[in-house]
Amino acid sequence: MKRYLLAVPLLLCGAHAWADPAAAVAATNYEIGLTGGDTYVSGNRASNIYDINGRATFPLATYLGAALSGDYGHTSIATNPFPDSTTGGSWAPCTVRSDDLDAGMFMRNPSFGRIGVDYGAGQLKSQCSATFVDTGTDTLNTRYSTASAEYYFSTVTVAVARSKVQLEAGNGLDSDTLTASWYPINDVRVALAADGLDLKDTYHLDLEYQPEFLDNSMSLLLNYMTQRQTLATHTISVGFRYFFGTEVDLLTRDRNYR
Amino acid sequence: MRRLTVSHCVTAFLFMALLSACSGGNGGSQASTSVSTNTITFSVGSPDATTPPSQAFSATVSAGTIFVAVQHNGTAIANASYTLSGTTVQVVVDPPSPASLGAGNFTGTVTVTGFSCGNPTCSTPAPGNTQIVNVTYQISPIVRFVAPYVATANTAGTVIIRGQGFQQFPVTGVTFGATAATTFTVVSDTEIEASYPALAPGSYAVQIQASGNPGAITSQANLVAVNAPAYSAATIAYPSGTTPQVNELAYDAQRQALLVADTADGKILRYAFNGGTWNSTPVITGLSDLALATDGQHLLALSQTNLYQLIPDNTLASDVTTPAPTFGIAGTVLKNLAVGNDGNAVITTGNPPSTSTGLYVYAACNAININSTCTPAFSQPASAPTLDNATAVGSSDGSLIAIMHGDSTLTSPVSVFQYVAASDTFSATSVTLNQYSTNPVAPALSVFTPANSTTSTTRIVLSGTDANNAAVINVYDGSYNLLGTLPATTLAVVVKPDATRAYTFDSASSQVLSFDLTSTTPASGPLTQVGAVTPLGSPGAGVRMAISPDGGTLFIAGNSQIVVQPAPP
Repeated sequence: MKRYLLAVPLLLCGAHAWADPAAAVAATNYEIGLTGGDTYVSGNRASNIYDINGRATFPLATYLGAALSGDYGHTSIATNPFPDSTTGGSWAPCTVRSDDLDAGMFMRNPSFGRIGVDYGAGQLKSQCSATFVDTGTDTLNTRYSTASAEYYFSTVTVAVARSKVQLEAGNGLDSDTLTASWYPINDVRVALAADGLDLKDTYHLDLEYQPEFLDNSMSLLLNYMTQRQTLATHTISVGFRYFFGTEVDLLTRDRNYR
Repeated sequence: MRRLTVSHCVTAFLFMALLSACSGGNGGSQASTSVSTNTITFSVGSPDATTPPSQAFSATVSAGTIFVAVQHNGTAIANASYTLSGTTVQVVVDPPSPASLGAGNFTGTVTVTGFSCGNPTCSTPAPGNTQIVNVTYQISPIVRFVAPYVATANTAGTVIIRGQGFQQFPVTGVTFGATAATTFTVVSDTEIEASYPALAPGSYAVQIQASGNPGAITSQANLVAVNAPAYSAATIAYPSGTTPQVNELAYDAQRQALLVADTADGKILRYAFNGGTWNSTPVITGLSDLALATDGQHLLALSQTNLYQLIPDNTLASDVTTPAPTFGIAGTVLKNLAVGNDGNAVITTGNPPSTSTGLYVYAACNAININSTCTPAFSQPASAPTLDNATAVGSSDGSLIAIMHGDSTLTSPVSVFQYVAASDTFSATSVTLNQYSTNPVAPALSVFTPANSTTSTTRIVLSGTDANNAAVINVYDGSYNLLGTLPATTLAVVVKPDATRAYTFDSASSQVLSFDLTSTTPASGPLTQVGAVTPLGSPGAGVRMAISPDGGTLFIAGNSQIVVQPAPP
C-alpha cells in the first residue's frame, strides 16, 4: 500500500503543466504501453511474458521533473524438465504475476543530459507450487531505488543507472546498467545496454520506432535480451506505446518529455 | 528526416566497443539448484500391498535465488510437498496406493527450479536450471484366483487364472506347485488360460513367472487336485421333521460334502462323506441360498438381509457378515447368488410377486485377505440391470453367469441376462424367456475348455415360458443359439462339466435321463436321449441337481431326501 502513497505528492506537484522546450519536461505527458514476448532458456524451455505499463511525466520546475509509473506483468514459465523426457502428461506452467509502482524525480537540461532518482515498490505472486525463499510464501514484496544519469551528445545518448532491490526479508539485488542509444533518424532509437553486478552478462538490444503515419502518437517496440551465464536465456518481445497528446518525434520525446 | 551516414555507423561501432567493455560483475547471478539424488524408487509386491512410505530428498539453491518451484508429474507420484529452510528445500514424495494404480511399472518426475530476479527491479523472474528427480514405482502382478479351483487328480485339464498385471510384465511361465503348465495364454491383463498335466492329489500353488519383475509374484490361488469320487448310489435322509424346499444344492469336491439351502425352513444342511457314509453336520438357520466362493475357502450364504462368508468345514462358522445394501423398494430381499472367477458374486434380489429390483456384485474376501485388507461390499456396476425376482447360475470355471427373471403375471417373455467375469459386465442376451414362478427348473450351464486348447464349449439350459406362453426347457450354445429342447417333464437339470451331457430328473419316469449335447448344429427339436438310470430312491418334489467335477456322480435333492447316483452314460 505504501507504494501507492508515493504517487500522491508527485501528482499534486505535477498537477500544473506548461510547455517549455528548454525545461526538464516540456509539458505534462502520459503514455501507456503493452509488451509481450517469449523467453527461451538454453534453446528449449520457454516462458511467455506480457506487461502493461503506464507513465505520467510532468515538470516540477524549469530543470526539475518527475515521473510516476505503474506496471503489471504476467510471466508464464514452462517448468517441464529440459530436455523433457518425462511421461505422464503435460506440465502446468508456473505463472508469476507482478505489479509495481515507481516514482522518480530528475533534473534535466534537454541539450545536455539528465540525472535522476527513482523509488518504487512492487509485489511478486506465484500462481504455482512455488515458494519465495525470503518469505516462505507465494508472495514477495520488493522495494527498489535507482539512480541514473544520461548524457546527450548529438544523436547519441549514453546512460548509466544503478539499481538496488530490497527483498521483503532483507536480501537484496544490486545491478548497474550502461546504455548507449542512437537515433539514426529522429523517430528511431537503437539502444544497446549491458547489465552488471547481480545481472552480469546481460545484454539488451532495444528498438523503438515512432512512425510518422501514426501522427507521432504511437511507437512500436522490439526488444532482445540475452543473459549468458550457466544457462543462456534469450528474450524477444514486441510492443507498442501510446502517447496522449504529445505529437513530437521520438528524439524530442526522449529528451524533452519523458 | 536525417539519413544514415558513415559517421552513424562509426558511432554504432563505438557503442558496441563500449558495451563489450562493460557488464560482468560480482553479484549473485542466475539461480542454481542441486539435489541430493536424481532417482527415487518405490516397489511393492502386489496391488493389494499397503502404500510404501514416502521418500524425501533435498535440494539446495544458490544465494541469488528468490523463489523455488517444486512440481511433479506422472502416475508414480501422488503428491510432492516441500519445505524451505534458508537455501535448502526438503521435498517429500508420496506414492499413490498400489490399489489405485494396479500392477505395472509407473514413472514420475519431480522438478526443482530456482528463479532469480530477471531485471533490475525484480519484476520478472528468471528461471535457473531445473533439477530432475526421476521416480519409478513398480507394483508386481498378483494371482488371485484359479477357476475351477478343484481339478480331478490324474487328469489333465484347463483352468482360468485371474489376477492383475498379467500384461504389465511379460509372463514367461505358469506353474502348479513345481509342475509347469503344458500351455498357457495370456488372455488379458487380468486373465490367463493355462493347462495343467495330470496331477497327483494335493494342493498346488498357482504361480506365474514374469520377466522384469524381481522376486516371486504373489499368489493367493491354489489348485486342489482330488480323486474322482467313487460314491455308491445312496439316499440321505433329512433331519426328522424337516421337509425342505431346496433352493440350492452344491457339492464341495475338496471336502466331499453336500450343501443344501432350504428356503422352507431357512437353513443350510451339510452332509460330509466320511467312512463310506454321508454324515449330517451342523445346521445353520436363517439362510436361503449358498455357493462356494471362487477360491473354495468360504461358503457364501444369503439370508434375506445379510451375506455371510462361512467356513465351509463341519463348523460352518461365520467369518464375515455383510449387511444387504439399502433397497429403494420396501419388501426387497436378497434372493440368489452365483460366483464368477473374478472373485465376485452376483447377487439377485426379489420382491414378489412382480417388481424389478437391483442386481448387485459382491466382492468377496479371499482366505488371504479376509482378516486384513479386505472390506467386502456390495456394489452396482453401471451395466447392472433391474430384474424381476432374478435367478443366477454360474459355470464351474466362473467365466459366465446366466441370469433369468420374470414371473407368472408377465404376458410376454423378458430378456435373459448374463454376467461375463472377464469384463465384469452385465448384458442382455438374445434369448427371451419368462422364468417359471411355480415349480421352476433352475437354469444350468457349463463352460468347458479341454486341456491344451483355447477353444471352449458352452452349454446353457434355460427354462421358462416363451413368446407363445409355452413352457420350454431349451439348451443353447455360448452364442445363445438354440441347440434343442429337453422334455417338459423335467424337474431338474444339470450339465456335465465337459458340456457333453445334460442330466435331468424326469417326473414321468422318475429316472435320471441323459441327453447328448455334443451337436453344434442349431436345432429346435428334442435333444437325443442317450441314457437313463433309475435312482435308488425318489428325491420328492422341488428337485435340484448337482454333479461332481469329474462328471461321474449326480446329486439329486428334493423335499423327501437326497439321492446320490452315479451318472449314466
